Amino acid sequence: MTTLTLSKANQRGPAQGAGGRPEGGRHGRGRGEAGRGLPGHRRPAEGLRRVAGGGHPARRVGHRRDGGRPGPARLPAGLRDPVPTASCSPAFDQIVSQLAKMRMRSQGRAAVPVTIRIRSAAASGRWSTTASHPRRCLRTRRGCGWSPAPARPTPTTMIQQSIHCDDPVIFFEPKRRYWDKAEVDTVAGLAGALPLEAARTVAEGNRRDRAHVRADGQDLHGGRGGGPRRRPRAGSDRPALAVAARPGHHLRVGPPDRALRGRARGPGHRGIGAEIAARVTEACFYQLEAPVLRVGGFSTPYPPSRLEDHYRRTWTGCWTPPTARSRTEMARGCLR
Amino acid sequence: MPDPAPLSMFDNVYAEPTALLREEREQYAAYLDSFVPEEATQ
Repeated sequence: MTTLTLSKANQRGPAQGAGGRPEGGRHGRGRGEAGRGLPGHRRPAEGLRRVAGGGHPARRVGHRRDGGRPGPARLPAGLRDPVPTASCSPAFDQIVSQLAKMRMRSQGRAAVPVTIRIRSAAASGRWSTTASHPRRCLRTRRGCGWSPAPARPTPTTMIQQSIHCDDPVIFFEPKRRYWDKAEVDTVAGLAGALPLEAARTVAEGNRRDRAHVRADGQDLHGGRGGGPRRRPRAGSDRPALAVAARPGHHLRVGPPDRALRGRARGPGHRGIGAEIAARVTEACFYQLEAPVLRVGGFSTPYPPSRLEDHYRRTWTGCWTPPTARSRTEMARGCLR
Repeated sequence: MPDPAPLSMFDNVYAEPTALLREEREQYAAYLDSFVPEEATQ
């Protein structure tokens, strides 16, 4: 076990998953070191250009529209290296229009096992591109998985799983978690690791009738269900689940032993929280004592820095419509 | 420079605010109104 920051852990994982490249290899140093930011900061989407360079990506994997080249085509092993992007905006079109569709367009002949590392959730105190990039759009693309890097304990494992996946995977790295430290097992392999798309129970509670469902690992602080800026209360009475979802892939929800009352915290309108709330309602309708409440951002662009806390609603917890909670509870402003 | 009003982030999103945006604005305004001013508690 080694104590690493999330930044270092994210860097260590690709080294293990892509053939033992030493830490800080081709893609340079970990964040938090001198120079800050991804090595490709001034070269956005350099890796993606490398994949797509020389014409349509289909040519790189031997694909022809007439299907004349039989047999599966694979990208060379070297292209399984995770691709860091300073901003996914320049790469957005290639990811959505090409990368996510390669397998289906080639009728399964072309595998595009590209892992794209994208910084997200910067909360950098300015009009942040990483906090407002089209992440939610990427999440909904069929054919392209996404994985939020969790705060702990498994960023090294999850990025290795992303690298080994035969589909393109967007690996979101929460920038405001880069300097969180945790014990990381850098020796254990992927055997026995939780599948990439599985939900993870990060905190056991003694009340089984309530649960916090966290749709985004980046918001988990200290591996439990507290708000990003709140350390989890000792002896929290409800379990917290971290959910990493590949579009249309899982979210297996079954009726709990007892009634479930939960809140999904994530993007609001059309976010992953909506999907979870719908699935929970479908599967647990007769056990629910109250509707699933979602706590998400407003339907506005990312605001100026001085309004950031209002937008992210992480200063103490959440707000909910006045019809759903008493004013006393609202004034307290906490997820309880 | 004074801090902008919290509800100003709902301005200038669209030429005409959508129903969803109006609803979110009203809900957040109600939430902000639920706080007791500091001078009233002293």
